[in-house]
Amino acid sequence: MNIGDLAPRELRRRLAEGELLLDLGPLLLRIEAVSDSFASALPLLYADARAPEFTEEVADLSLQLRRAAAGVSVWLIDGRPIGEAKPYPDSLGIAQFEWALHWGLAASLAPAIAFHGAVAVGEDGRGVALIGESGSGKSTLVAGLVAGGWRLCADEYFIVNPAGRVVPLPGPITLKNEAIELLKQRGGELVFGPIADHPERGRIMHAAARRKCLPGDSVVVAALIFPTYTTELPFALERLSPSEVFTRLVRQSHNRQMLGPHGFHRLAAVAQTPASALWFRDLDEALTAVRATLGGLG
Amino acid sequence: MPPILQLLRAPGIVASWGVAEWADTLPRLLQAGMGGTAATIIAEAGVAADQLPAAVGRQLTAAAIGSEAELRSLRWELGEVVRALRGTGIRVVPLKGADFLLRNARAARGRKVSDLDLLIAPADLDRATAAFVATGWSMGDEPTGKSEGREHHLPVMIHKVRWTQLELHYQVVAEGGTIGLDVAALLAQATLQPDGVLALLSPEDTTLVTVAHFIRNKRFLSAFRDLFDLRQLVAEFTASDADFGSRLALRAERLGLEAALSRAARDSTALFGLLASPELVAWAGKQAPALAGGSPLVLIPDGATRPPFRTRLGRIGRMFARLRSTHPRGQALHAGWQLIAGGGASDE
Repeated sequence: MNIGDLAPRELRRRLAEGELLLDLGPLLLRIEAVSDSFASALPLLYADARAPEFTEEVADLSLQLRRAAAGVSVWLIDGRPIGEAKPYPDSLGIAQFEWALHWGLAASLAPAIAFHGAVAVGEDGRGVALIGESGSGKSTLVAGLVAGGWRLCADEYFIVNPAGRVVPLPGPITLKNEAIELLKQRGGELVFGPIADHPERGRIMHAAARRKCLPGDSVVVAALIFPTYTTELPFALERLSPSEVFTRLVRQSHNRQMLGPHGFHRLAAVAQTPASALWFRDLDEALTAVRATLGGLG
Repeated sequence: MPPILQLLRAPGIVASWGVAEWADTLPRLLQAGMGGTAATIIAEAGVAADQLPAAVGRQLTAAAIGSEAELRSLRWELGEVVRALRGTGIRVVPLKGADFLLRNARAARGRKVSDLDLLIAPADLDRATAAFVATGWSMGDEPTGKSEGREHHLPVMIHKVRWTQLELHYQVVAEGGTIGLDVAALLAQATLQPDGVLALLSPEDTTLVTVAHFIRNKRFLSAFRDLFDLRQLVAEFTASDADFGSRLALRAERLGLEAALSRAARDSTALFGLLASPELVAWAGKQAPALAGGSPLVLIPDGATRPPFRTRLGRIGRMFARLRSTHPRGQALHAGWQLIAGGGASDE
């Protein structure tokens, strides 16, 4: 049974009782939450995620939405507040959940190495990883690729397991501010969640991909792109050397230090992937460049 | 008996566990920061990874890797401490996780550690602080509201480059309570290491430091871990020295800690089974049943097949627990754990 197959009443019962299991692929979550906005958005954005009975499987992590004050709540993971997942208005709904999840996941993914990035796969089966900090435009770009028919493999986490394989984690894509309208205009392959006003980050909306990588898929990332959204610099796409890629990956790795020497060697292996830095303002121009990057690799 | 206690008593039992036991236990282990410890003792019990549910295997492995990283960092920082203090004549005694690591104790394996705690003679504090500042550490202000109960160490020092944390203790636990440890006596018994800076507490004093932390701990899950540490320390020290329990009791009496030790011994036994030293068990049984004025604490999970945040207290009970969330008992109830009387009267 998938999340989208659950009757709304059953979904809310499982959430209220802490009995909802949500299969993300590499991890199984158990969730407790009494929140109308969260319960409404979940089937929109995770419709095809598996939802096994809680008596049948053990979850990796337990998440609870705990009321901190009237109208304000915080997500806990295994009873602990995570990172900067501080209390926020209930109206943020699933945006707050996604944020807490992203904060809490990195330590749970070892021995896989996790980078701050998004991955999409084109029709020929080859993928591109877009790697960069929040605000770099990676989620906008990956949403643009998916809207154009590519499959979504990951947003927020570009995960490589100890065997060097990319692990799909195709959760909802986080879109912010101007990117929201931009993607809604071209959204046939995307399912949009509600828009929330975050007190610090502005308007936030999540978009689920209709076409996505499956947990067992073998994903080949043929190119790395380090995007920078800018209104001040002209469009540019520059090839990076492996040493430049290495230093950039160090800054974008969530759990490299935790993995010790293995993390260092895995990062060095990923740095051998052909890579470019991209400065862009216009989404279509950038998407054309990203697709051309794969074409240029033959 | 709650499954988490079954695991910590006899880890081999997990080979027969199903979904219900693990669904109750895994979130509790992760909440208590004992995932790495569980991974270690389960492996030592001969239970193979393929005998565990997939999620359990993944999370215990991840916790063990996280612990390895933290211990690796801690070992590096101990080397940096030696470098900073070499030639000054100042000796420092690592406490808790750093102590366990330096002596390669079982309690270090899989342990989650966040900072480096060093005990230092009060007369050396100024010179030691200056030496650490000269090697990249800076002393910050304690965050607002975090200073209560921390009057036993200087404000946390943070390294400017590595961001690691260092606490210079002039007492083992906060002063002003019913329990204190004679720092001069601990330092006098500590064994200087070949590096000329680090000194190891005697096995008895290492154990009593854990006891003192248990008694004074205001965080209930930390107190739970302290009691498991006590069990592991007594087992390890007794295995190499059959008289350890008797010497521990004698040392406790000399330092005025007999009530604390007997309380901790009884509470650890209540949770994790008899301590490995029959002499210590017999001695603890002869002591007064309660520790007047202390903060004894025994915790067991409520045994419900729920994540740790669930409680069976009902709405009123949860409100009550929330109101008391600043007290270990309130914290425990609030988080779905349950307190039991630990072989003596509560001082609540």
